[in-house]
Amino acid sequence: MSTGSRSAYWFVAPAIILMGLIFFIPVLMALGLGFTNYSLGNSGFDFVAFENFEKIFTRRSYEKMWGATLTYVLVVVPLSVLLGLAAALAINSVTRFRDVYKTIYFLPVMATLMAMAIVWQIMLHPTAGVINRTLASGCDVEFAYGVLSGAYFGFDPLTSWYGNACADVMPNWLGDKKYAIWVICFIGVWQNFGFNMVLYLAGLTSVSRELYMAAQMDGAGSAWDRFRLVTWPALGPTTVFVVTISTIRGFQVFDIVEAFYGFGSAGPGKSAYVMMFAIFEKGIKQNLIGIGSAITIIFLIFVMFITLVQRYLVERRVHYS
Amino acid sequence: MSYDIGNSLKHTALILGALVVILPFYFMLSYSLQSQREIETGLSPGGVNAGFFGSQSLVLDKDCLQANTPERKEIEVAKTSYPGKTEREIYNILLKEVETSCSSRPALMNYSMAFTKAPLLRYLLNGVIVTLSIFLIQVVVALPAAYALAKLRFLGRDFIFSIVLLCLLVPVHAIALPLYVILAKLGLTNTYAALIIPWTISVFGIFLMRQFFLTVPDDLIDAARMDGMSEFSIIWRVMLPTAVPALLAFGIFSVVAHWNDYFWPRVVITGDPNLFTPPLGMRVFKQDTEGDLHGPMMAVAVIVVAPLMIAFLMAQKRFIEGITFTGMK
Amino acid sequence: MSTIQLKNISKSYATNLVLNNVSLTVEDREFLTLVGPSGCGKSTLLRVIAGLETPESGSVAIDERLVTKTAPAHRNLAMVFQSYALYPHLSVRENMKTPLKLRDLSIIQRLPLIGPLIAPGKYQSLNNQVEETAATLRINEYLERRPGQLSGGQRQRAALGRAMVRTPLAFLMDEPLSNLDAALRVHMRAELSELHRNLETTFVYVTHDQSEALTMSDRVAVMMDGTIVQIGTPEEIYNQPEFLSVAEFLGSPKINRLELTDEVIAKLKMPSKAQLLKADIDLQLIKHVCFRPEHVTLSNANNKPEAVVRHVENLGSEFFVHAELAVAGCRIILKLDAPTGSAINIGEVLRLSINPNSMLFFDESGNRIRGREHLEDAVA
Repeated sequence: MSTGSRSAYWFVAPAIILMGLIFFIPVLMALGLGFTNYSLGNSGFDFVAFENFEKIFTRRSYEKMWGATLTYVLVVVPLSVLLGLAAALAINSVTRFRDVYKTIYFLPVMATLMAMAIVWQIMLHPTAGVINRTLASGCDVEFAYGVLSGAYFGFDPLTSWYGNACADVMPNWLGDKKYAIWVICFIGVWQNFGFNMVLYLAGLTSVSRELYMAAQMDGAGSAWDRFRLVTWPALGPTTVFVVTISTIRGFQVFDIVEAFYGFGSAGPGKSAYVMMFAIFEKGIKQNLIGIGSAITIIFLIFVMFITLVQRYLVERRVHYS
Repeated sequence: MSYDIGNSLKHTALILGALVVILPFYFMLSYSLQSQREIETGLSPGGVNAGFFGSQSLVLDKDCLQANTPERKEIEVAKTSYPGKTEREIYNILLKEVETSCSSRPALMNYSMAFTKAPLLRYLLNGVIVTLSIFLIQVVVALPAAYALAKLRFLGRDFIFSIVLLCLLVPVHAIALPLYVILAKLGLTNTYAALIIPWTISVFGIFLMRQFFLTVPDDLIDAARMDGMSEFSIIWRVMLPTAVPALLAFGIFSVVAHWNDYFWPRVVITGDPNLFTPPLGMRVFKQDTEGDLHGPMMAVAVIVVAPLMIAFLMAQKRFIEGITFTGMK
Repeated sequence: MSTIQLKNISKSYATNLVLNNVSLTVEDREFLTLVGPSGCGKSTLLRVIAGLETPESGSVAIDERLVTKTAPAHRNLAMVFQSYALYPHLSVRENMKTPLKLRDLSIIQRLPLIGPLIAPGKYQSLNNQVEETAATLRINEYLERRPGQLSGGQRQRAALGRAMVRTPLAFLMDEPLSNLDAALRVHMRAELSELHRNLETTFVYVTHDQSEALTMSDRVAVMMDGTIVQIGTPEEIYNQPEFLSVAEFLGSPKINRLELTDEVIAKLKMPSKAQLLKADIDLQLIKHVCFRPEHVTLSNANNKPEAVVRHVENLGSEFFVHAELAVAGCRIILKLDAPTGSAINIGEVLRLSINPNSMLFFDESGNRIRGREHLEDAVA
């Protein structure tokens, strides 16, 4: 053993102890408690085998949880990745105002989501919100009405969404089951795509300029050919990473739901009953630690699975050293 | 010129995107300056468009009015100063006075209410205490571990590093429930400790600093040993200074994450407003004033969001680099 | 037939003029090398030929066809890059097939999976072309590997293969050997020359390495500060440089330069004032006299100038001797054969003889001064 091997143990000791306390014991606890009906304050608990999991996969309220969580993840991940990529490509190809765009698109990533969600809520208020006020004022402007309701294009305005809203009432974005989860998805995309954009921009700087030139010499005349031949393959590792991290973050959505709906409610008809919200409601508010732990286990399995897929995809690729 | 058309299309799309992104920031600032009526209708008194600043015409603070409405006693006292007037008239005069003293410009009122309706300063202070403690402890724990994992040889090093990699897979929010159970059992909920403890170890920080230390030449460390430094002082006097750029990136990442975090404070702080962090305080402020204090609420939002925003705008390159650097692993 | 004609090409980045009114004709089947120090504009000029850069003014013609505004894809030129620029995610085979696919297949035929089903015959012929080219370059064994799994030399060949596979009008090479180690570089020099002879195609080759320029080319164009300062065969460029800068750029070790004063003329003895005058060289104009290290020999004659040996470098087959020339007050380098060189000790005083015929004279601004008559005739 060489110099400093004895002190090495002192240096890693705090980290090891904390990893044990903060990662290993809780994960093991979740794995154990997920199979019990434990509640805080109870002296004992019963082993209930898979009962908790059975509930999660069969009961209606958990059906809502799966619906909301998967909707959020399956909408926000692809959209925020694609928008991030599109923004990065566009910013990378223009010469002016790059930093301005970059800064603006990155603002939501830095901003406190709780605060911004409350701002969105005020803007989305069904009658007093600026969005519906603007939409409603468009109803009286002939051109706007004509275009948005499709009347200009020969459609019956009353069959269109906008025509209907004008005739009847503007949508209650957050209070209507039809819209609520989609609005939450929209805000999720709004908040996250700037982060993906920055990662893509970093990925783009590593694409060699000579490779684009080589593609041009090889006959790749169109921008699409060059994107397919050079940019997209070069961004492969970035894409794998961006999708992984977006998905794991997607499963953790919580703030927006709490901001919009009072403490404890999960949107109209529980349509925004996302996974973290379920863990919080069941495990902490209702003190059903067993059920909460079972959801935690499922969550951890998801994360493991996504990470394994990522590792596999990353290791499959061989690159220039 | 097809190039010019393509270019203008790109700028058009980028500008439209930027408008959507910036919209809530615009309204947050604008609403924090306007009266409730202006926020709800978009119109200033007289029916003109409120614009960004609103009309700033005087508005009445209803709570203030209620608290100071002239009472019997005051009217009796005032009778001497207004001889010959009926009680009704005196009451009206006094009411006018109170109304004047309770009126103020919406911008001023919103921001002053932000601090009076809730202990906002306390929230901000809590935010600072929590984020800074977390970052400092993270560094104190991670730096020696990262140094040992990168530069020292000892039995079990690879095993320990693989444990770090394993922990990297687990998002702390995901295991919030068992962590909460432990803290509750220890009686630590509703304490600063509960806010800080789960974040004291950043496996990500260890990983990041280890990767950084791998790039530091061994010669530098050997030279320090030749100079007679102990391993402990090598960490703080040699490695720490070389690691400043990486630490800065990690610091930005850590501070942003924990200043903005809402979920964990929500889990462990259940009652005591003295422990609320800014996002939690915001949510409670919204709950308490449901519906009718949009202006002050937006003022709170501005104050909560502003510190990071200002820091970001002043050093945007560093922030973006920091987040990318820490993001790419 | 493929000649390349550049007329009055100018190009600048921001305020920096990179190419200043450059004209150049590359003959059919010629191996022409653009050589110069870094930043002289040689790579930019090559990219203008390729179409990767658009000049601000001037014209480019390939086989009399004006292509100044033609996209690189439609010029039918091939290029080998310094970094090889192989697609990292594709095998060598796919790398070589890419230019063929982009040229010979329609968009639908290029689709993965479906394409080979629609046009199996075309794919077969593309594969054959790739195999043939791979055979000439002896890279068959690693056709299925990705660039990341290849050594530098193998990547180099793969990049050559990708350029050769579609029989272009001309090859453009941008420092293709600079990422190889020294031994491989020397080997590849010979191979590239051979390849050029076999392919019978025009080569335009860019390098900053003067030994590559001298060993491989039919003609060399020396570029400095955005202009071609001299163009000619390697012998002409080496022996008859028109400018001091060219003389100093070519040759290793560097050419010896002395400031010519009356005293130097007097003490160097040769050539004498009279000889110079007779050759019709204006003495007033001469500022520098240069001679290559290999043109200095040792002499026993007493009237020859003296030099003190300061340093000796043994290169095995030859010796570089650094000596201080007392008359001129400067150091010069001598290139001596091994037997002569090994006998020399540091501190020794040598008497030198410099062939007057090999001396080059330059004026204050670095232009060559030639006499009307050859100096040797004057001596005679």
